[in-house]
Amino acid sequence: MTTGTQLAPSSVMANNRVSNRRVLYLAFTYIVLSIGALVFLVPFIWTIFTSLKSSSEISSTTITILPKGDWHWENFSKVFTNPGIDFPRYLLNTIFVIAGILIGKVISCTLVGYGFARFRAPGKNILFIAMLSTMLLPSYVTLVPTYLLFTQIFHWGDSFLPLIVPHFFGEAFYIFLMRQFFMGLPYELEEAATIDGAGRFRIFVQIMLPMVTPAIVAMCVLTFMGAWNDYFTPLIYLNDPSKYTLALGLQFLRDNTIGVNNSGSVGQLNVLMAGALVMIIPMLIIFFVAQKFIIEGVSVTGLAGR
Amino acid sequence: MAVINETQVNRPVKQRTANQRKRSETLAFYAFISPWLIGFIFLTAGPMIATLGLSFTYYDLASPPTWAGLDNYTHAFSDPDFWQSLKVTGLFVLFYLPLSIVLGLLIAILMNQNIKGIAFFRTIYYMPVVVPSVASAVLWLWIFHPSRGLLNNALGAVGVPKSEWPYWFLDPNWALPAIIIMSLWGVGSGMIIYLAGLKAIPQNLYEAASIDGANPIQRFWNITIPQLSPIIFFQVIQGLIGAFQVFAPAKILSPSGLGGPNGSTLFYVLNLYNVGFGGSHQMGYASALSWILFVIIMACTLLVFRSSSVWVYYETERN
Repeated sequence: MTTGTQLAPSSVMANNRVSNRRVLYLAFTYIVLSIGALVFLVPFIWTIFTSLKSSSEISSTTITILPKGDWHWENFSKVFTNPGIDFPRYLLNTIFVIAGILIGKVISCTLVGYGFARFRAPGKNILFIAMLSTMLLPSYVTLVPTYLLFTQIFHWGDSFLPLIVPHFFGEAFYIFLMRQFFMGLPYELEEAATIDGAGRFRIFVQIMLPMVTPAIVAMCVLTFMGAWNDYFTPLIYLNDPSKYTLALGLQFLRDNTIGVNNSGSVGQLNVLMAGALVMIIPMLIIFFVAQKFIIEGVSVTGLAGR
Repeated sequence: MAVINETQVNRPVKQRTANQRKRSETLAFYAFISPWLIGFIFLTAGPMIATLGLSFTYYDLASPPTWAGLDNYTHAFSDPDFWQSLKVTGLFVLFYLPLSIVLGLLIAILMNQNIKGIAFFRTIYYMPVVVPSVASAVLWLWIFHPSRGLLNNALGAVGVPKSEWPYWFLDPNWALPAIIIMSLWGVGSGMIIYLAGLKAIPQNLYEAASIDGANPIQRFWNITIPQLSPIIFFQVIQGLIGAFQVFAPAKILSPSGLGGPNGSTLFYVLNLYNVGFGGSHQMGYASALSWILFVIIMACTLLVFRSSSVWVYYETERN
C-alpha cells in the first residue's frame, strides 16, 4: 500500500480513519450483542432465583430478582419428595425410555445408513428418495392408526413400548447422517477384509461401525435431547402416573401447585421452578459438553437446502 | 478383488460370479435397510393410508368403526373450533415466521465477525433452544404472571400503570402474542444455521464488490441475501411445518389445556388432540383433521417451492 513515499501520509490517515470506524463498529456490535444476551439470559436468571426463594417471599407483593432472605436450596429436594408426585420415579422412567430409544436408533440407523451408502441394488434410488421425503412428513398424519395399532391391537397402553419400539425402525435424518459418514470412508477397508474372508455383517460391525463413532455420538446426543423433551408421545400413551416421564411429571407438578388454570396459589412456584430446572439443567450440561456436535449437527440440517 | 478375478478365474466362471455377486449385493442391500423398510411400510405408508380410510368412518374406540362418507370433512368445515385452530395457527405463522427470520439473521450477521468472545455469545443465544418445551412453558408462565410476573413488573418499572398490565395467557387478546414472544426466545436455532451459511459465503465476492465501490448496504442486499436465500428458503419451509405442529406451549399455557381463553391459543394440533385424545375419542374426525393438516402442509410447501425460483438464488443457475 505504501509503495511511494509521497503516498505514505495520506494512507496512514486513511488507515486511522478505517481503524476508528472499525473500533466504533466493534463497540456497537459488543453492546448490541451484550444487551441481547442479557435478554436471552433473564428467563434463566429469574427461574433460578425464584427456585431459591421462600414461599412467603413469592407470595409477597414486592418483587425482587434476588431472594431477599436465605437461599432455599431445599426447594430442590421438595421436588423429589413431593407427596403424590414421584419425581425420582419419573426420572428413572425417562432414563429407561431413553436407553431403549438410543439402542434402537443406533442399531437401525447405522445398518440402514450403511446399506444406502455401500450397496448397489435395483430400487435403491426410489427408496432413498422415499426415505428423504419422510423428513418433511408431519408425524400427525400417521398418528391415529399408529395409536390404534399400539393400544387396540398390541395393547401397549400405559407401557413404554409405544415410546421405544418405533425407534428400532430408523429415522430419516439420522439414516442420512450415517450414510454421509459411511460414504466418506475408503472402500479399501472393506476390500481388505473381504479378501480375509470376513462376511458383510462382520465387516460392518467390526470395521465400519467403529469408524463412524463421531456420527453415532452426535446422533445419541441429539436423540437424547429429543426424547427428554418429548411431551406428546408420553401424553397420549401414558395415563398411569407411575409411568410418567419427566415431561409429564413436570406438567403434573404444575397442575398440583398452581393448578391447571394457572390461577391457583403462587406460593409453590419456587418448587415448580426448581422442578423446571431439574428438567433444564441436564440439557444445558449436555449442550455445554457436546456443543460442537449439536451445533454442527444443526448446521448440517439447515444447510441441506444449499 | 478385481485383480484376483482377472488372474485366477477364466471368463465364463467370472461372468457367473459377477451375476451372483450382483444378486448377493442386492440381497445385502435389502437386508441392511430392512429395519427402515419395515418401519416405512408399517409405521409410515400403511398408517398414512389407514388415516385416509379412517377419516371416512365414525370410530370412538368403544364400538367398531362405521362408514361416515364425507361427514367428517363436512363437519370440519362447519366446526368453529376447526376454523379457530386454522386462524390461530395462521396468525402464529404470519407473525412468528418473519420475526424469527429477521431476528435470527440480525444476530447471525452481528456474530459473523472475527471478534473475541463470539463463541460465548453463540452459546448464550443458543441455550434457550435446548430447554425442553414443557419446562420452557412452565418458566414463561411465571414470567407472564399477571400481577407478580417479571414482564408486567418490568412494564410497571417503565411507567405502565398496573391497571393496564396485560393478563397474557388469561386474556384472549394477549395469549397468542405471549406465545409468539416465548417462541422467539428460541430464535437461536435459526441463528446458528444463518451463521453457518454466512461463513460459507466466499469472501472474494465481497472483495470484488468493494473494489467496484459497493457500500455495505449494497453488499448486504446483493451478496449476503442472495447467497443466503437457499438457507432462508429452507428455514421458511421448516418454520411452516413447525408452526403447524406447535403443541406443548398451547396445551400447557392455556387454562385447563383446552386452547383458551376463547380459543385464542387453540393451535391446529391442540384441536386435533382435543378431538381424538382429550376425553372423547373421535378417531374418525381426528383422522380427517390430520389428513387436512397433511394437505395444508403439502400445499404450503409446494407454494414456497414454486415461489422459490423468483427469490432463491442457486449458484448453478449462472451456467
